Formats: sequence, C-alpha cells, structure tokens
Amino acid sequence: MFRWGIQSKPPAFMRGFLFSLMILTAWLSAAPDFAKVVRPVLERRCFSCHGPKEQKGKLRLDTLSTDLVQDARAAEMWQEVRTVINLGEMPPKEEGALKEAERRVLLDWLNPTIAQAAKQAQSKGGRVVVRRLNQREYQNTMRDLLGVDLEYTRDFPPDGISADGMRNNGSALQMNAIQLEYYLAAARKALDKMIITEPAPPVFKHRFEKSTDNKFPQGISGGNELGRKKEFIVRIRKDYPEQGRFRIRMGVQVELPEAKGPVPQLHVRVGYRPDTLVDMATLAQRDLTKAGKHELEFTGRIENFPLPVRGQGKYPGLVVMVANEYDRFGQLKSGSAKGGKQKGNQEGEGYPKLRVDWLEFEGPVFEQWPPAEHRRILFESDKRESDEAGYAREVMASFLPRAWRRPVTDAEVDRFAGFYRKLRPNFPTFEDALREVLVMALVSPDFLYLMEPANDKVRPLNAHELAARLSYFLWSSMPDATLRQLADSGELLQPKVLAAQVDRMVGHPKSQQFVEAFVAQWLDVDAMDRVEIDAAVYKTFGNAAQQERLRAAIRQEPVEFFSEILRRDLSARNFVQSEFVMLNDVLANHYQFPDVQGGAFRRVPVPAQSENPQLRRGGLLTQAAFLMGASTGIDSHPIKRAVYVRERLLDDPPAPPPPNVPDLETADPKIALLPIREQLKHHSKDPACADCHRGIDGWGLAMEEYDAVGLWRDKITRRLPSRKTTTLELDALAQMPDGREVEGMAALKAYLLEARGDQFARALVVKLLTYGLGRSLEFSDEPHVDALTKQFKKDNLRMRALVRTIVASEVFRTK
Amino acid sequence: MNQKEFEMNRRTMLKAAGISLALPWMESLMGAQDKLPPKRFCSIYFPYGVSLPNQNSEFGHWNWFPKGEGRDFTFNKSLEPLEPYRNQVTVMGGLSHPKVRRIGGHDSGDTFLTGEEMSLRATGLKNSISLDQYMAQTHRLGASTRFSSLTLSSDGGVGMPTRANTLSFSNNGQPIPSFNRPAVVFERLFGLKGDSIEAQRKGLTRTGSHLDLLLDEAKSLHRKLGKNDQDKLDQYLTSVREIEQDVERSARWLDMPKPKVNAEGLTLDADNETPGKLIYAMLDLIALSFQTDSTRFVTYQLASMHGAISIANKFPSLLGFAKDAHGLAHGAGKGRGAENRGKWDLYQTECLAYLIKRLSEMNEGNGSVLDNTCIFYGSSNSKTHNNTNYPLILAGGKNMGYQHGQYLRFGNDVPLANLFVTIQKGMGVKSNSFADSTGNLDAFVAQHG
Repeated sequence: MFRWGIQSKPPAFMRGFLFSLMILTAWLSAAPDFAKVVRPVLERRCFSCHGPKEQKGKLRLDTLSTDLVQDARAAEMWQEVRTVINLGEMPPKEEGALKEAERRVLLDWLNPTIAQAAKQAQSKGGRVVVRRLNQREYQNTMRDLLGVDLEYTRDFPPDGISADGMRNNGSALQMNAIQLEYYLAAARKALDKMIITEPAPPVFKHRFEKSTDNKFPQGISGGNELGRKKEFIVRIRKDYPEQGRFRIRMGVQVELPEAKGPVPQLHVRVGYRPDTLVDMATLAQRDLTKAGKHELEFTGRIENFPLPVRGQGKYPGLVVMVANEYDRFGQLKSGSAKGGKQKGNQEGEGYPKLRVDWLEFEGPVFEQWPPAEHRRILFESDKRESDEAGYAREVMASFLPRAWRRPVTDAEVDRFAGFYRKLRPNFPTFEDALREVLVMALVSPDFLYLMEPANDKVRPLNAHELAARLSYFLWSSMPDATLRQLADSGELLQPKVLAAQVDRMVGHPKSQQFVEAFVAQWLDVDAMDRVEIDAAVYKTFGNAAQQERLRAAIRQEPVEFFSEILRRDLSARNFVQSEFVMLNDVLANHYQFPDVQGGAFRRVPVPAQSENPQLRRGGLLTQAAFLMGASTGIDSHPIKRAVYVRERLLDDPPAPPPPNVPDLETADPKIALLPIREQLKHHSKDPACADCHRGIDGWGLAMEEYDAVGLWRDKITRRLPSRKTTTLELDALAQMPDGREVEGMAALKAYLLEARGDQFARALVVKLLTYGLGRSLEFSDEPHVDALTKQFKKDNLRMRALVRTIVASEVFRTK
Repeated sequence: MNQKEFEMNRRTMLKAAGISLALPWMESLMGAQDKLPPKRFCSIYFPYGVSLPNQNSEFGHWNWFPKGEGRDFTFNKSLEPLEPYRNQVTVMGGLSHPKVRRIGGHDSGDTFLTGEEMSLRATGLKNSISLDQYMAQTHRLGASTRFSSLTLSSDGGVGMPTRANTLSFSNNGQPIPSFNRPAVVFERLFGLKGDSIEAQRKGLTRTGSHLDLLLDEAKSLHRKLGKNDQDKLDQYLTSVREIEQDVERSARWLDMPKPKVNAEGLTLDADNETPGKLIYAMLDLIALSFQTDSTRFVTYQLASMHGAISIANKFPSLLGFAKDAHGLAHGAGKGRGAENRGKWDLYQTECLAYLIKRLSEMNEGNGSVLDNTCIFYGSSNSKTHNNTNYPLILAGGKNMGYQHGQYLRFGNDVPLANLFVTIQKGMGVKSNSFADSTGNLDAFVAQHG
C-alpha cells in the first residue's frame, strides 16, 4: 500500500515485473473488459467532445493508453475522468447524465484499475526493506541485551504507521535526527548505569509496622486495615536510592467472607511528585485468593517510578502505598453497568478484607558489586589489568555479536578496537572510554536496523538473519541464547528445528509482546481511546477512576482472547464466533456475567441458552473494544463498524469517499430523527454514494443490537443536534452486499463464517504475514498468500499452525 | 474558559529579566550585526475547515468568515475573540493551494505549508519542503538560535502520509517528527543539565568525533545493500550529519546558559485527557520559546485530518462540545450543525487569541514580541472534504510591515503560495517564489521596505 519513503525512480527489479503483471492481469479479470464493455460506453458518451474531432479541455480519450502501470500520465488522466464522473460533472447537463448502468461499467473498470496501478507504483519488488526497530522492539532489545529494565523509550516520538495500520513497517519507520538523538541519549543513559566505576552504594533498609496517618490527595488516609480510601502508606524521608533495583516485602492477612466470593486485590504503588502531580506508578497488582497470612515480595527499578525532587516544597520523600482495589471499586454488583450509585465499604461487612502487618523496603539490591549486568559485559579476563586495549578488544568481540544479532568479522572488531584507541586519551578512565565505544555500537545501523544486506537479487536468509526475523516476529525482541546457538550451528535452518523453536517461542511469556503488538495493529484497539463516551448516558463512565479501570479491562480483552486462541492452538473461527469469552471482574460486571471474581482474566463459557441477551457474546465483534472504537460515544456508528469489518476481518477496505462528496447529513433536524437505515437511504440518493454504500451498510446495520459501550440494547439512544436525546426502536435487519438478509449479530457471525469464511481466513493470513515480514504485501505475494491460506484451511484454521507455516514459508525465509 | 495567567514564576522572571530573558537576541552568537529584535514565524493548523452556513440564514452568525470586506467588516461569532486585536490581524478568504485541489478532501493536511500535490500519481505520496523549514533551514534563518525550529502537534511523531502528525517537512519532503508532550518540550527548551559547561563541551566534542567514526562504519555497510535499503540507510546517514551539525550548534551555545524558566504553573502534565490544559500549555511554550529566543520557527498542528487516527479527534467531546472533531465537521453547512461546529471554531479562535495576547504582553524593543512574530493560522479545508477557500488568519508581525485590520477575499486564481512569498520576504528571505507561487500579496497585506 502507500508508504513514506524515498521513491521516485522506477523499481530496479524488472525480473519480477512480468510475473507481477501476469498476476495483475489475472486480478483485473474481475473488472469489465475494456474493449468489449468499457470502450463502447466511452465512445457513445464521451468521444464526441474528447475524441478525434474535438479535444475539449485538451483531453482525448479514444487514444488514451489503458496501461496505467506503464503510463503515469494516462493514469492521471483516468483519475481525472473518475473524479468528474463521481461528481456528476461529466457529461455536461445538456448531454444528459450517465445512465446508472453506464456509470457502473466505467467505475467498475476505473476503480480497480487505478487502485492496482497505484499499488504497483509503490512496489518494493516484493522484498523486505531494511527496517529500524520500533519503540516496542527497541525497549525489549535494550532490556534483553543489557539486562537493565529501564523505560528507554518513554520520551521517544511515536513511530510512523503504515497505510495498512502496522507499526513495524520498514518503509513507514523513518529515521531522522530527533530519533537518532533519542537513541544516543538512551544508549548513554543505559551504559552509565551499567558500566560502573564507583564503589558499591550504601544499601537502605527500612521496616514499617504501622502506616503513616498523613492525608493524601483524593481523601486517602493511612492505616493497616485497608478499606475504602484507606491505604497502607509509608514515607521514606531521606534514605532511599535513586538508582538501581529495589525490593519490597510485606506481610498481609487476607479475610474471605464467602467461598468463591469476591477476593481482595492488592495494589502496590510507588513514588509521588507533588510538584507535577504525576500520579504514582504501579509496582504490582495481584488477586489474593487464599485466606490467611501471606508474605509477598516485589521488585522494581526505582528510576521507572516518579521520584520527588529532594528539597523542593511539599517534598514527601519516597512514598509507597498499598491498596485493596476491591475496596476502591469492588462493590459494583452485576446489573449496575448503566449506573446507580455505589455505596462505599467503610466497614467492609461481608467484603474481602486485607490487612498489612508490615512492609520492608530494601534498595538498591544487588547480589554482588559491580552487578551481574556489568560483569556480563566487562567480564573477568587476564588482560583486564595488563592490557587495556587488548581487553577492550575482547569486550567488543563478545558484545558486538550479541548486539548486532550476527557473527562479526575481525575487521569489524578491529574497527571498534580502533575507536577505543582513538577515544581513550579523551577519558580519565578505561571504563569511561569503553562506555562510549559501547554506545557507538548501539547507535550504529547494525543495531538499530534489522540488517539483511543483499543486493538486488533475492536470496535466502542466513541462520542469524532468520533467528532475528523470527525473534522480532514472535517476541518483539532480539534472539535469546538458544536461538543464537541454533543459528551459530546452522541447525535453525532445518525445518524441524525451526518448527520446534516456533512452538517454544509461542509458549514463552515473551510472546505476549507479539500478541499485544499484533492485536493492537490488526484490530486497531487504540480506536477506543479516540472516542469519548457520553457519561450522561453511560453512567459507568462518569467517574474518572472507574472509567480508567473499565477502559483498561476493555482494552485488555482482545489481547487475552487472542492469547487464548494462540496458546491453545484453537481455530481462528473463534475470532468470529466462540463459545467462551475472556473476562475479569471489571469486564464481567460490565457485560453482566455473574460470578467472576478478581482482576485476572480467565476463560468463561458463554451459556448456550440464556434468557439474558447480554450474555450472547463470543468472538471479536461483541467485544467492547471494537464496538466502542466504532461508535460515536453515545450511539453505534454503523459505517465505522462496517468499514472495520471489511478492512480488518476481510482485508477488503471500501474505497475512501471521492473528494468533495457530501457527508451523511445529520444536522438537518428532520433527518436527525430518522432511523439510521432511513438516513443512509437518504444519503444514498446520490448515486456517487450509493455505489459504495451498497457494499458497506449491511455490515454495520446488522450490529445495531450493540450500543456505544458494547452492551446489548433493545432501544437506540441518540443525541440530536439540539443536544437533546431521543430514543428509537431497535432495528438490526440488514441487506448484505450479495442481497441476502441478515438480522442481528448472531446471524451476522453465522453469515461471516458461512459466506465469507474463506475471505476471512485469507485476510488473517494477509495480516499476520504483513506483520511477520514487516512490510506491506504486493502482487508478487499473492501466490504465497494463496498457498498459506490453503495450508491454513487444511490445518482447520488453527492459529499456531498458521504461525508455523508462515515461518517455514519461502517468503518469510528470503530477503 | 481556561483563563490561565502567564505562569512564568514572577520572581525568576524579574531576576532573569535583564540577563537571559528580555534581550537574549542581543547576546546571540551571531554577533553585533543582530541588533534588531528577531523575526519569528508560527503556524497553527486545525483540520476539517469551519462552519459555513449562509450568512443570511438563521445560523448565519456562525459563519467563520466576517461580514463585509476590506477594512469595513464585522467579525461573526467564531472570530469575536479577535475583536480586541482587530488591528493586529488580517482575515483571508478564497485562497488555497491549486495543486492540492486535485487531491482527496481529507488528504490536504500535510500540504498546508508545502502546497505539494501529494497524490500517488503526482509524487508517489511524497511531500516537499514546508514554509517554516524553507525559511529556517534552506535560508538559514533558524541558524542563530539554540533550536532552528520547533514542531508541535497533539498526536506526536510523523503519522502516515496524507495524515501526517506534523506540519513540517524537510528539504527532501520527509516529515519532521513533532512533539506532543509539554513536559518533553519544556525539558528540551529549558531543561538544565547538571554537568559543568566544560564537561558538556567535552561531551559534545566527543559526540561529534564519534559520529564521524560511525559515518565511516555506515558507509561501508551502504555498499552491501540494494537500492531500497540504501535509501533507508541514506536517511540514517543524513540524520547522523544533522546531529553533527546540531552538536556544533550546541557547542556554540554552551557558554550561553539556557534561559531560566520556572515550570511551576505551566500545566506540563497535561495530556490527551485534558485537551484544554494541553493546548494552552503548548501555546505557553510557544510564547516562551519566542520570548527567550530559543527558536524563531514553530509549527503546531492542533489535530490531523484523520478522525480514525488522531487522538485529538475526541478533544471537542472531552471539552463538552456536541461531537468529536470529525462529527462536528459533518453538517457544518447549515442549521444547528453550523452552530455546533461554530462553537468549536470559537474555541479554537480563543486559543489563537490567547497566543496573540501572550505575545503582545511580552515587551521587546519598543513594542512587543507579537510585533516581531508572524502568526499564520488556518485550515486546508473550507468545509470538510473541500480543499478550496481556506479559512486563514495572519496575525502580528507589525515590524514586518503588515497592514492589518482587513478582511481580504481572493479569487481562486491566486495561489496560497503567493502569501507565503510575502511572509518569507517579511521574515528576510531573499527569494521571490515558493512552490507554485505566481507572485506575492505584498500589495494587500504588507509593505516591505
């Protein structure tokens, strides 16, 4: 699709060109035949003014090339033709407007022809473009490489997104001075912390058995018994570290009033900046499901928490707060999702209770000095004392292959040893100089980019490149020691070994990075954050803290859902319809599912037959993240929902509206009162709109049973231009593009699986392959997609099988 | 409305006034020839155009454009906050970028300051240099400040082609990433490093020479790559060279302490959930960056034209307006929809008025910072989807010769770039063209001596 980047010159890969053209022709066979069908219409309606006799507006159509791929000027002319047809500007009034059938023929040829020519113009020859690490990948890579879990990318400018919605697309990921400046700063910050010349710092230890009784913002006060607005709070006035890892241990007592009833949720927060009002950061959150006494331990990196500035006004010291989230929010009962005041739990009768007996803080914690991460880079060696330069060379010889994810040549190590010798005189100590040389390795292109050097000839990846591609696909990070070893020995290139690695990696906790990244990009989960919910209608969104918590659960649902399907190797059909949902207490409460306690997500079966229509859930389309993201904040947005299904689930995005077409008119008070179906009809009176909306509207109308926050409804609430609200009858009857009628979400899902099952499978292959490769797909990829889809169907649409097939495919294994 | 006072700590301001705040340009490293106050340029962009009901209809008073013409005009409701600054502003109608009329209605945001026809066919979705960068970089007007330019937006980064999250594009049409977090901008502009100047100088010198070594390294890699990959690596090499230049610039600035500005009262913690605070914090930072002469070129994109991508799309609903930004744009042509959209236009104008007020209260030379600042405010749509008749305001810059207090209407034979030529001449660029300009608008808005 469309990308940033330096284009301009024609692609140099002419070899693949004829091939692409064949596919292009095959693809275009769906469009009407130009000579037989399209040209006669043009001849009848256009040539008299734009033909051999006359060339009004200097446009002559009878001789205009129809090869839009080869002839850019012709392509531009045809684009103009499409615009004037869309706008109804041509033919001029006195000649009589185009008949509907004529318009259809012209547009059915123009639309795909122009779109495909445009795509061809953007071609990168079907090859992966060298891409830099995106924020997630950089963060994970730095952590895994250096062993220091700092927030490296907190201030980085957001990464560019590709037109197909991906954040790991090599063409969309730009480099510029600001970006590089941040890389440089991040590398220096990390190595300053790692390469240590100072003696071991003092270790601070504190034990608290009583909470402070200071008052804190939002009416919170301290106490050992946790309750509503009552938290266990300690302040360390002076003696705490500002660097390094810290450990918090605590003794808590859990009281559970009823078996299988609600459970307390421990929430530990650290740091507080009264000057900037930056909220505390969460260290840990955990459901405590067993009654009795517990000892718990948590660790974190102190730099990642908002530390107060010593000596400033209102300086609070380092603050640690322990809360029972259940007390903050938990008294929500099912059925209260649409509002109703929650009563506080001052006394906590019948509620799960937490008491903190004691809390210990220790920091910085390290097993030895200098810490392990320092020793991993500056290891013991005979040369260390005797031969600084020789030792520096040893250090780089060990560091570079890990940092650059490949073996390095002697010449490369020499170059860095040379850097070291050049830099050494500028620095007081050996470590200072070496630190800077290490920084250089971390801002060099070999680290920042997934480098697969190749000339214009397609070649298979070598074992290390494959390890890196695989690792960034499934972990969003660098290869681990196992992958590295298998790459060193070359075994990774064996299909069996590779398949086994895919299984290991998918089973590893790091694959959560893949799930989060892919789900966010495939499903555009961020869409829900771009919609503000009308709190006057949806009361649960009225309270900021409550809304934040609910939004977090809604945002998490698709991630947990995908994770469940991948880890258990379930069929991708579950994305359309599943007999289970993934819920935690907050989300269960929102959806009115009973008996889900605690903040952890778990699989909950959907009752086969239920009186309560709220419980008719399953698949992606009934998830609030999607329904909310494609809403107006008060009502559904059927068009957005429809576009979403076509774009994300079917990989068939409708064309954007032609320039200067009128929008759906909702400001007219009369139209504002009409049911959505009537509004759309009104809109589609304009033939330019009707064309596309035929293929769009049905998908959205069938989902009308769900409101702006993803709940089932039997009435539709809408806000009028006058700002008053009005209620309309529910109507979820929809006519699909193929003319079939579908009513309601359940029927829509069944229709998707039955009539569009193959298209859905193919779309998922496209999305996952796009993500895995880090580039947009092109014509030349069509056979790969076909083959992968075929295998995917053979494997019963099992997700893990698809990942394995993609990794084993030729397209994944070549540069 | 957020009536936030200028929140630079008063004491700091007084203490610093004579030293680093009031006359930093006098001490600029450019030396003695630079005795006049500096000239600045700030462009603020908003998406989806404005409310345009028929002037004579029931809701006609929500039409963004004034009634009347020339010097004889009356502001309608949306521009009322500018009434106190009537003689500091010129409202312009009818202008647009001719080439941009050919591209999609939602695609024009990237081209506001470039005028490029950013379509696949015409340029492969490549943009060209923006007005701010043309002045700051190509003509080196940004060379004499600590930062040559500052790029701000609500979404941050670069976004995607035709839906960029930035107004600024470099010489080769690459988007320049924008900053969207006030705290980060503040740190960049005014944050103090703990190290001594000597230590910083060493650090900079090192960075410079180290990057040199890196360039050699990268160049050898370059030879091993295919064409597309080489293009990507070229971006990297360009970035390294730019940092080297920045390092040189920073080294020159070392002896000059960063202006002391107290963050207290600036709502630096503002984020996407508190758009009012966020926008005003950004405006404060623009004013401060000009006052302290930290930079002379700022662009600020209030939102991009991508409802589906821009977080700023929900700002209006968060602030209590009837719908989100794109929703408001629908039906802005008439009736109640025009009013709803008009109220948002009004809100945006209040933001502009706030910046004008701030700058006008900052004394400089015989006047104010505003007199030396050209503010170019507007959108690349008239109504949504329509790339003609941009709603535009030129404000400030009295010392650049602007004849304000007018409402000017142009025919669509006048390219917007003609105005850019006038702006760049006012700023001191010795060039009589920009993009597809066919002349200038000096006769209407300015008299350049």
